[in-house]
Amino acid sequence: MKKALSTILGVVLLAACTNLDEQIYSKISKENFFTTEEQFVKYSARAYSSLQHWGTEKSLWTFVIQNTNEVCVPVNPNGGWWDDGRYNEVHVHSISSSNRLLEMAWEYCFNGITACNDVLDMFESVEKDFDAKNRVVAEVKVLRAYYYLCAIDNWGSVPYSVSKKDKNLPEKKDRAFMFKFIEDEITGNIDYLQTDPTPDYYGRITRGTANAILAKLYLNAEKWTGTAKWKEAEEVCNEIITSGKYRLADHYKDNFCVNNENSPEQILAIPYSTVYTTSDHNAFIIYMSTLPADLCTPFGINAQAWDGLCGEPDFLASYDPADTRKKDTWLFGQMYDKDGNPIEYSDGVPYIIDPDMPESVYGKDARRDALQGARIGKWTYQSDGRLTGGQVGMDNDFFLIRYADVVLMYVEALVRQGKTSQAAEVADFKSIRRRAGLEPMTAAELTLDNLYWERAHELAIEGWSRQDMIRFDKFLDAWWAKPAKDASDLILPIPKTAIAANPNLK
Amino acid sequence: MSVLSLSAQNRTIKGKVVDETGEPLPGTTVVAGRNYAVTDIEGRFTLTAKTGDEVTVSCMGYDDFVFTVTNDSDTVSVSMVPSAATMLDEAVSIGYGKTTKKELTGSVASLKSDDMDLGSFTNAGGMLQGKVAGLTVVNPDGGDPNASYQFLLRGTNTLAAGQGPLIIIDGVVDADLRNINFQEVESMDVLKDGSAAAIYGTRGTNGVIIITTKRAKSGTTSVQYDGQVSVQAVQSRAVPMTAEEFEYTIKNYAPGKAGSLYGYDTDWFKEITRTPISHKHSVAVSGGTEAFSHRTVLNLEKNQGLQIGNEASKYLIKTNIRQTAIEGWLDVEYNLSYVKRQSTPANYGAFRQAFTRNPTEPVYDPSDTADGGYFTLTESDYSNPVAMINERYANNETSNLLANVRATLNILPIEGLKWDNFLSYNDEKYFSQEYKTSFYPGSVGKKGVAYSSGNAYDNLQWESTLQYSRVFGGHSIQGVLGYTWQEQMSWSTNMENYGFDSDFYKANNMGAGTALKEGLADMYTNRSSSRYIAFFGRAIWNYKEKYLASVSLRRDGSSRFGKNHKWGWFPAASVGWRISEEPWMKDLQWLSELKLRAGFGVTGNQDFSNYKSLMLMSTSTSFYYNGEWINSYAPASNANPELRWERKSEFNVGMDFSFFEGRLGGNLDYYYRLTTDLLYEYNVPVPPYDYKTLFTNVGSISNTGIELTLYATPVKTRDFVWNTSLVAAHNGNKLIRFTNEEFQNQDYEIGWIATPVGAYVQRLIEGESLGSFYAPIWDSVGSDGSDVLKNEFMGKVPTAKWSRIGSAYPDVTLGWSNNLKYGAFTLSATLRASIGGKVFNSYRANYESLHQIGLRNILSSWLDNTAYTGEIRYSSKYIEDATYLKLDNVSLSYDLPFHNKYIHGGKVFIAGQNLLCISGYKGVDPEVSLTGLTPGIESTSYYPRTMTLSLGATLNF
Repeated sequence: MKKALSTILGVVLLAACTNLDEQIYSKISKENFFTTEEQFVKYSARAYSSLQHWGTEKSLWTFVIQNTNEVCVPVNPNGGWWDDGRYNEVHVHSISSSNRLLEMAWEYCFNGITACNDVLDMFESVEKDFDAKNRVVAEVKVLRAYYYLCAIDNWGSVPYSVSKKDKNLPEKKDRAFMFKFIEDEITGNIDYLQTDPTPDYYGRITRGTANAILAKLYLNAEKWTGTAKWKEAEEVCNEIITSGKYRLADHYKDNFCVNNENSPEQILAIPYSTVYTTSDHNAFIIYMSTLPADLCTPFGINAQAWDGLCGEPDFLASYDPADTRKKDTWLFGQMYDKDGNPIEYSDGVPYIIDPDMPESVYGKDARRDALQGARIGKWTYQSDGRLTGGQVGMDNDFFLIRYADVVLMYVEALVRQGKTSQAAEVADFKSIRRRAGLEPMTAAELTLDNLYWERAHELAIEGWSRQDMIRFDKFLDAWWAKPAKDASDLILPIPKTAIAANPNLK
Repeated sequence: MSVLSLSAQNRTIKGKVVDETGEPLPGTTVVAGRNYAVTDIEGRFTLTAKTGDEVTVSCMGYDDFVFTVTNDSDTVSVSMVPSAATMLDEAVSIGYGKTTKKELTGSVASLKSDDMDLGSFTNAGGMLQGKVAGLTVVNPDGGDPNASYQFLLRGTNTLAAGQGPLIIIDGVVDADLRNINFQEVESMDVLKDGSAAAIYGTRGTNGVIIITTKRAKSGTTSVQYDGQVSVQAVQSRAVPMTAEEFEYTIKNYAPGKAGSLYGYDTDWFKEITRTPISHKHSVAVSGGTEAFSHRTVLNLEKNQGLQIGNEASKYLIKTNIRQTAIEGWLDVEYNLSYVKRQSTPANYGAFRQAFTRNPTEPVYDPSDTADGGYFTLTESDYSNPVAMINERYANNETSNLLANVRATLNILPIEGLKWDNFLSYNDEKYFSQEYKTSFYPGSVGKKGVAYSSGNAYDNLQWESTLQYSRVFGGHSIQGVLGYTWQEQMSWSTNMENYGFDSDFYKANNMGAGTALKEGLADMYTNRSSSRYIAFFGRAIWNYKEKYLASVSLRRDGSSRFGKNHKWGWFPAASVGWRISEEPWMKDLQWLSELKLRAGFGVTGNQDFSNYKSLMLMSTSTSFYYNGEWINSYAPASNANPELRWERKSEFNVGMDFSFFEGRLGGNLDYYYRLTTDLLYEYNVPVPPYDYKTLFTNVGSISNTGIELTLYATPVKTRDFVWNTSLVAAHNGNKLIRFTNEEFQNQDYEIGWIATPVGAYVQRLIEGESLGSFYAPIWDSVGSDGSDVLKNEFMGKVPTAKWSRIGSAYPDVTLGWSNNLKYGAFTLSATLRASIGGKVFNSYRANYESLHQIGLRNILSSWLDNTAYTGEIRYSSKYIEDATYLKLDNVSLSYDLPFHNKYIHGGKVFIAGQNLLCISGYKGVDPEVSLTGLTPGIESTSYYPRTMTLSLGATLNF
């Protein structure tokens, strides 16, 4: 007995004397986290929150608007925003594979895909079933399809991975393969999704969202695979329109105001908050990127903004004088403070921004003047003092897809099939024009060129212009400081960092 | 009555002390209990003692002579015997034991308190500067009283892990130098090579510094007072234009910027600095018997920094008690120390703002009440430095409690066998508060910003060793078997709030800020722990002190490692041959010592953060879900079950020599160290990985070098002795590789210098040294005033055409210490030099350009070459030679002659530190940080260098 006791004591002591397990206190391991159904549902938020990267200073969104005819970034009067030419490269289409903006655009897509894969893997490994499982899985799969759509839109062939369990480095797949994958993922899961976009589904994938993503896919099918799918695009748009779940907001600005979550037009929103989304990977901070520092205080913003992004002068000049969307999208002309009083630039000099800039202000050694270049003003700047610079993001939510876009896609699908007169009669299309202070287009006016500009003005700087310009054969043309390019320009280079991490992408 | 009878037995002893040749020895001390005498020029002394007293006669360079007072001892004559090669018999700590210099087989440098400079140091690390060949000690923060020293031993052996040596203070592993008083250091031993450091396993790669502080000694109770006062003056700083130069430059070279002339003359540097005065005091009380002795020291330091408000204080109490019990079976030693450190940290940004601030601006503008009456121009990164000092309150407090006990059981029946147990607990608390008032530049509008942070750190260590040492038949053996267990735990908290109604509270009522309620305040806590366990053994053998050998093996485990590599083996072996002990060498009278050594050992580096091998999740972004904002969770790291220590193998050969009875001697060492399994953060694809980077073992680095230490006593007469020592070292570093087939990190461009320079100044190239600078070669200043660079193409030099300018690491480092003793006076001087090596001059690169003048000031040195008017272009022009010669220390001390019933002598000294720097470098100080992955880059955020003059006294009671 004594011997046994001492043996046991010896073993226990020896184990304690050699125990090197790490004690974790301030982070959590998977095993400790997934204990209740609620934790699983919460975990899927990770897939959604990847969308918040969209509104940051360097994201797919800011990449696209600078890569098209909408936004340019001349060096500001203080010499800022040259940064080794990274903004310039994006605008004049000579992007190096080590461009930081390009890397961040890539990360938006692939961090999103990884997050979705991770969530799906996790769900698969869960023993217990729960009521919401099929729906949440379907949401994440459609969300992943959206990220892949963004990826093939910009990079053509992309690394394909649907699970982390495969430890091999992902292989590159071409657009045709990915197109089929995205289509199957959406059509295979759409029936599990929430049909009614009730407020508790705000910011999540619903049936309407899935159809809208499918519409984007079909609309670009000809450019991406060589096979047009106008008919399919028409059908999915029609389903959204006839579902009656969405309608145009009364005012254009209802989609962009601080409390825009009440707009009936949103189909997929990214909710933002001055409190909850305040870091460099999730804050909506367009006010910091575009506003000059001296407009902040009059606007009720407690920040030293960076004075960078400007409206591209030719784009500003392309609006119909009667189009109210110009002033609803851009800041130019006389500036007014939050109470509506005109602002002075200096003693006796009014603060009047000239949207026109010669191309000569562009380049490393050039500078624009302080009062040159329209600024982005589409999302109303809150003047309650809660915007305090740094990474404190705005409260306005961002509508990735809204009903007006679907209406215009529907019109385009009809026009592409030669059903121009039917298109001209679409009631919501007429409403979009009237809401902008313009007359509805007649069938004769409804040319592809006019339709392009209608989309450009309605959806300006909302992040879809790159694929629109490509689809309407505008992307390779010269505009302002950007020279004409050949077809190789339609595909972006894969970032150097991504190739370094995965040699299959060479 | 008994008192009377005792005093009646007192007798006066007169004596004479002579050397081995019969010449008198002046300055020799003669001690009997509390009575004390010193011999005069004829070697004579008079001492009062009682019959039966033991009298000790001691003189430097001679063996102590002891005699007992008898009834006949009225006159004595003492003939002293010179000590024989005493240096070789000096004890050296080798970790878990001691040996002597002559028996040493590894490369170990040993410093005694006599070898250390007098003066003022922020901590004991400074006393190693220039004293150990191959150990570079740098203080990158100049005159900051809170500055710490950086150590670099035998080159850079890591990419991403720590470079600090393992510090052991009185047995406490991983101790903090700031928690002892530098004057308390008795000895410092530096284990340099792999064979010596391998006994510390995964923590041995960067060397081991074993510090022994003064401890209890038996004897009559003595009290020692140490005090010093020091003042500092600026030795070097970045010099901007004066208001006059600024105005001249703008009017003549940049008339378009005349709007930036405000007509005042402000010396911003002067506005934020002062002449700092510091003082330090300590009192030590010690005494006792062989069976019970104690030593207690009280220490107080108040140090001012050059920057107004910048201060550091220290209060320390430390007690050491030694006891012997159970008839010599048990020795017990207790240590208890409590240290409180208080500081107001410097605002480094204020020095940079004082540099760039326009000198024609006034400091104040009483009409600008919105900015607190400071003259203010709203521009980003442009703040009034006086407001930065006045409108900030900061207080850091650290308290450290150390308690340990060492119990040694002497197993008397077996001679030389003992079992030693050491249990130590260290509890450190750090608390920091900072408040920026409503007028602090850059925070105006936030209505006061308060920060509060805290940190707690626990270190529990248990060590148990079985030690055996024995000499028989010419063989001497020493063996040790041991087990060690250590757990470190840390907690930290951090809070920030703003929006205060009044500046009254400072950071003492953080809840009153409004930002918390608005959801804009920040809060953070963290806790982490690590555990470290090892089993080890070592055997040291020698035969007649002629043939020497040592082998050791350690089985080391750490909780930080991946689950497939929790434990590793760390073997070492070394041999020595004292040729001078061979009979056929005995005829060479001039040769006192000649020893050859060779050793090989494996060590590791595990100095990286906890939990690096685990896949962990942390709260990520918030997400709007079902009508409310919720946390999402995301992976924060990848699992890496293969994560392990960086492994270094080192081969060392050396020679110890000594001639002419130790008048000239030295050591020569050659080493080759190869570090494999280097850790680095690699980009990995997601998927299949969970997280985008993986911390893993891939690369390898080698360091090869030669170290030479020479010591000599060129002059030695009865009253004048000159001791000198020189250390020299060369190290060659090579990054062998840092990628493999799986991990191809392309971020080889490092050392980003922000705009207006806008360049990566260094590269990681396989086959080259770390710290390699790359730049376009500067050619000339063109006719348009711009820099012309070689290989320009369309106004740019492609990065592929940049040239390697050199490495930040010096070719040779030198230290030269001198000690001249004349009677009671001692004059010491220490010089230090670094030859070769490059340094990036950040101030020139950023501020020696006409383009930058206007709102902001530039370097005054632009006026030396006004032809250069172009924009800043990064080029070789800013990478300068870092060669320097520094006069680190000059001190003069005088041994006080008073010896009476109350005072037993003492010392006064005057010391000057950091007195002179001779260098071609145009920046602040060519001695910049050499640690980390981007060494040799002088920061624009800096603390000016100061020289220090100290006056000190030691009195023994």
